[in-house]
Amino acid sequence: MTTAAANVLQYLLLVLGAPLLRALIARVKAVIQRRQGTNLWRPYADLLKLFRKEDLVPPDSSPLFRFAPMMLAASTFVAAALVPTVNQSALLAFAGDFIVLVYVLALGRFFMGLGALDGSSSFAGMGASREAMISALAEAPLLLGLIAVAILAGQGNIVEIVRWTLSQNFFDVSAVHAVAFAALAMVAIAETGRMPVDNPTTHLELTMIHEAMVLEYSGPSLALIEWAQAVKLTVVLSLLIGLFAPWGMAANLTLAGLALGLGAYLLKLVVLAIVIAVLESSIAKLRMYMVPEFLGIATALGALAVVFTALLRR
Amino acid sequence: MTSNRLGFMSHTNTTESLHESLRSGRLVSVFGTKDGEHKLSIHYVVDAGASGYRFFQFAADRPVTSITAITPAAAWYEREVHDQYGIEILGHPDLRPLVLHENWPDGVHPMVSAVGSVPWASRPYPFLEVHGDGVCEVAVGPVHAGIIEPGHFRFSVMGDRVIHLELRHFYTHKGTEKLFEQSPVARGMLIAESVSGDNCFAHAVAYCEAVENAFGVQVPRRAAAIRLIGLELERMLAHVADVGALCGDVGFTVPAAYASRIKEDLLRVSAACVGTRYWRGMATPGGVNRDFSSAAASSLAAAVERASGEFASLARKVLDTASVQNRFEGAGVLLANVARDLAVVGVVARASGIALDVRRDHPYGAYTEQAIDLPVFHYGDVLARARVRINEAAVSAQLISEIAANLPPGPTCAAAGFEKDAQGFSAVESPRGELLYWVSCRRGQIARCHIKSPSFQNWPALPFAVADNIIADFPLINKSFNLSYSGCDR
Repeated sequence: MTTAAANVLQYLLLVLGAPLLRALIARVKAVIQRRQGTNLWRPYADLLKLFRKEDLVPPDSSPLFRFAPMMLAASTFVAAALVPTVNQSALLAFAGDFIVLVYVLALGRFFMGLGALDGSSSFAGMGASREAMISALAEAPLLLGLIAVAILAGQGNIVEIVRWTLSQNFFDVSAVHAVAFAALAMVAIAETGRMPVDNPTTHLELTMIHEAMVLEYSGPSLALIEWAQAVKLTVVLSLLIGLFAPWGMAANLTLAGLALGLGAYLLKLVVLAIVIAVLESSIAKLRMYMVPEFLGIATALGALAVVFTALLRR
Repeated sequence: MTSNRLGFMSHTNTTESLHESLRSGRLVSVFGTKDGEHKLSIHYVVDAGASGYRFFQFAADRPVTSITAITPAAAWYEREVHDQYGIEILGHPDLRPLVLHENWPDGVHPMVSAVGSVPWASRPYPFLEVHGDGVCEVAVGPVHAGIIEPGHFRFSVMGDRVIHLELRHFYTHKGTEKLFEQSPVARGMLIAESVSGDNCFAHAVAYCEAVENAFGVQVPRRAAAIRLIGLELERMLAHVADVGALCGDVGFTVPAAYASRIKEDLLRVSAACVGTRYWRGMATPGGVNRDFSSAAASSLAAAVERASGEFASLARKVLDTASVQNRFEGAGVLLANVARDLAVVGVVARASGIALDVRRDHPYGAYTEQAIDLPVFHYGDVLARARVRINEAAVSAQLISEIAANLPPGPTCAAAGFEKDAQGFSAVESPRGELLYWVSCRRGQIARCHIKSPSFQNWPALPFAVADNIIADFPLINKSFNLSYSGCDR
């Protein structure tokens, strides 16, 4: 098997399998609440249903309204091609470093904000302004955390960072990694709109952040948004796995190596999904004004991680 | 007029005595009536504390002076009387239509004229506008994302901070008080039950007791005890559900799911004991429609005790969770002086430091033999309202256990005739607070039935609790009040 084929396969796995991860989190949460929960394949049925439906567009909107979900999906799918998952390589690894990843994701967010404002509903506008605040505040800790890891590895490309991490001793977890992981995990929660920053399952418009932005969307546009959101969650989690726990990732393209890489990756994702579900079940959502403090802590941790790199690299 | 153990219907109808009474007492309700000769009257009900409820009646064919300046709690009542009866109110600061919406024509007052075919109109309804740099209006409802009743909320916000909130309700106005007219006295509770779904038994009992007071019917002790069980069970159900819903509103889903399970257990045991989940069809003038077997009573008591224990430990866990404390504490503070000015009742009053409970202050039915432990908190925030609910649910469970273990023997319904002309009232502490029914019967039919619902009383207080909070906290604050739309809209 060539590297390119393996990369295409792992990319398809991420993009097509992403809705399953969200369903898994929802299912674990249901089990914790002693509910039966929905079928794991339900998100696919939902997507199929939405893709077949009519796209309702608010009368006052411009073509931007329809364009925004496409940009979101496109940017998220590109981001998915930058992250190694099963194999120590990625489809677009040659195309850029972690800064590209950060801003490709930001591009989708930017367009979603514009699309939400374009729909001219007061809830969407409110959601867009909140999302803008959160993404502005989340950018610093995200970059700081990634910079710390990159300095430590001496590499800017995510695949190279992963390879460097794999070459290190399994038990040799540096302080930089611990602190950067904490910062990036907090950012991951904010970036993907999960509890306690945002509640993806609420019906209360006034408390929504991401969901408020997409209230006006329907049909195929909504399907793209939902799919992109699922992919984004998986990309962010895969990034955490790749940067901080890549062990098991296939080094050579043998069938056994790939199978081991796949198994290790899926196992780690499932563990993360369970951790998210347990975390989301055991706390109440933050008051909106606490979110900057939450991300402030993440920024402080990110800065600390960068400081630590100076100590570790003498 | 008749004297009554709850109070008296006063003859001293001077404006001075009304004002005097309002200064020391609490406004309970204001309502209009129309007698056989189409003469309009306006009635004021004041809670005078130990001496009971005082009623004042004034002729309203000529304009009536507003009392809103003396007691702001009268504002909505006077607007309603103005809408429904066309009674002129002089000196009211805001006489925009309240109950009747923009589609209702001017000059058609449903309680005095026929409403068979009313033409469609379009009147303006000016909302209060807040001007200034960066002030935005956010309109929420009447159609909401969840399965809740319709109500419109107009926020003026600056960023996320709420400067002003204006309510526009009465989308579920069903003309309930008009429906009562001409209904047979013996069947009025069927209408009362449908005023507010989750407080249906309190409404039914309040109606029945008003009729019983009017006709001097003595309710058998066993029936009174069974009514107490129903009323307390309804309170417990409401409080369990509300605490669960508060958790749900802050995204704390596990306690929300557990609370709804506890509620469901209680509903099922209700269905097994009395045949209906919410005690619909149980109350009837003179007593109750169904007796309890002693086995049913003990199984109900056992289920209530189990649910109460589960709820107490759930509530403890919820209140011990730091993230919940962070959301509940200091959110939606209703100051005691505002609460007093607006004469709020029920849980909302007790969470703002006002010790007020009809069961204790003006006991009725089996409550005359019970001492009620009244939880009162002073902070007036979401946490205080949650704690009042949690403590009250425990008190209710205790009462149910005591009464169910010692059900007095005897009949469950007294025979009664409702043919003569009579007037009466009753006050009941529903899960949301003081509920007052005033009935006037003529030849076996209801001539007029006025409902003072706790939600109508408490809704105007909500904007004061919401102002200065962030708009994202509004659903939580609103839930902590948990007022009924249907009960308010009548």
